[in-house]
Amino acid sequence: MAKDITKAKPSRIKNRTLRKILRNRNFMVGFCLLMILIIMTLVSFFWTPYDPNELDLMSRKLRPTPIAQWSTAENVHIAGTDDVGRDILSRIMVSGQKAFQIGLSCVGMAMVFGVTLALFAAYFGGWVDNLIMRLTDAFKSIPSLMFAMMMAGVFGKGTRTTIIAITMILIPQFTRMTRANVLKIREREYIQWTTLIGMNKLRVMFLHILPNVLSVIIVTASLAFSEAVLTEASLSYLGLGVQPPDASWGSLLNAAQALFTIYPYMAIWPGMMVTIAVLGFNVMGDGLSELLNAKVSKEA
Amino acid sequence: MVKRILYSILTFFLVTVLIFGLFLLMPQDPIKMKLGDEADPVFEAALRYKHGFTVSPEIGAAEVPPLTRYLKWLGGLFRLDLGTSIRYDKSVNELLSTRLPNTVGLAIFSFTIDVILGITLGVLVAKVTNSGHYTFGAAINILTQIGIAIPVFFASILWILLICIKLKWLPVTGFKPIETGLGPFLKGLILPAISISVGGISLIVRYVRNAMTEELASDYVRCARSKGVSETRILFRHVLRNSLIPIVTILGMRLASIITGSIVIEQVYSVPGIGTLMISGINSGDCILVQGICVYISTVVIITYLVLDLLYMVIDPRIRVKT
Repeated sequence: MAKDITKAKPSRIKNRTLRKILRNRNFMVGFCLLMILIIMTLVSFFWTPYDPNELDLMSRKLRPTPIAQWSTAENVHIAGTDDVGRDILSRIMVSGQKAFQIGLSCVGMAMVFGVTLALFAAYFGGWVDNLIMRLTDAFKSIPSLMFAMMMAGVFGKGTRTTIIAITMILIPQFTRMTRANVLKIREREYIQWTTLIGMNKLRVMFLHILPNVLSVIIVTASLAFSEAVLTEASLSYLGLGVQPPDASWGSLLNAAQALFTIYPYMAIWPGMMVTIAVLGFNVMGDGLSELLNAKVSKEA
Repeated sequence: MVKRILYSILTFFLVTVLIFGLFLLMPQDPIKMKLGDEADPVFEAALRYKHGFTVSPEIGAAEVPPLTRYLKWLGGLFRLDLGTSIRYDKSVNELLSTRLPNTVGLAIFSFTIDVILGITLGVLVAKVTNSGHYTFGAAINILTQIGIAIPVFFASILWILLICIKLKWLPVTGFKPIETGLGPFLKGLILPAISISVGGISLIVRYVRNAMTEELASDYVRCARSKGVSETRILFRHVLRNSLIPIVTILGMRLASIITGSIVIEQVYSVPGIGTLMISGINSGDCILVQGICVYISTVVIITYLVLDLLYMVIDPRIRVKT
């Protein structure tokens, strides 16, 4: 069916870039999912329904209050309480802080180190390139969760080890993706011209090549974020990541492990949060790669 | 091809250096962690010597330098000797051999589900989407994205709630060792295996669909159609075969995920496998045990990648010509 193009309404949004972003379904879905989590986390800095660490032995293992009773019941726990009476919704909200803290610091550090390594590898070439690439390949052969567990074994469990471990897992991914694209761009004519006119190679690297691989780096970052959240959750779930009394989605699931067959809500809420976060970053990454026209494959 | 094999060997060496080097940075003393602070010094020194940390069993004996220890360890690896676990006081080989059947069984089981369901569903989805059912395609898109995002341990919790609690088809803790027979053993592994496979199936369906939709638009498909080749034959004989390369790649990638998946899932279903062994090793600071397991698993991964690259040559003659 051909649409009557004479009757097509012009979009209300005038800015072309914005219109393109708003029309990208993947990006918007991912963005909205993440916004839910981000807003929830931001609110938790100022307000949570209950103190997330306060024990209330009078209200242990309360099931989630049904919506009909929200206005009448005196102790409303939207997501129920855990085995020592802590409000699960409050704990989930605070856990969001942990997830974003770990995600942001890991992805940030990994991006800086990974991209720098890639630029060095591509800039110097030869044995430096070889060494860096062989090392990233060796890293690829150690399953990432196993590596994180090993780190927890060596440096002790806790948030700090988790951050270091995940950063080290993510660095090779940034290095591989960036290097592959730097090599591609280096062959372009406008970069070859810089050699011809005798420009400083380091300057070319950072001012001319780096901006051109930025889109790939952004997409990689989005996917890396989802991996960071997932690895943190798995590690904490195994009891090797974030340690009590700090809460993270993974450690909440760990705590629910013994009880979830009778009190399913204790596991379902935090599990859903991890899923939403990972889903959000994955889908947003797909959308970003369409928008920025940057192809990123996880296994490259 | 020789180059590819040499390259795998180099990777193996780098991995051993990485793993061994990491444990040199360990701040705690594994022997002290096992014996506690008030241990008999004579016994402690003997234990230290036994695990190769010192040169002689006397108290205050000099430590073996890290490089010598690494070389000794590496030599042991080539004799397939992974050392003696500090915590269990048994050889790592022995510990692994009792637990390996469970993990391998779980991995093979879940890989089979991945391959069979993933590829069949992928082909079907490609076929249906290609014949114009776009809503169906979109629904599959959403479902598979969720399937990929859902963490294994959460998937397993949902499966337990659905199958064990709601439907009461299987008991919650159903693991039986393989000695009880293959039937009960596999039955106990159904839930763990499908929990790991949720992500795998979703991923494979997406890959198969994408690869096949690309191929379906190509000239040789149109030619085959015009010759009157049946649609099923086109799909399975022509298109699937041509889109095998990305599919094989993703199957190889799955292996590493299945291993990490089983590490986590063993904890959920208390399956005595490599994952639970590794966690107990980590919690007791047993560096020899953890090193052994890590090297073992990494070697499996390295070999998989090697086999994968060799497989490409078998599947696609074009690659054989190039290299």
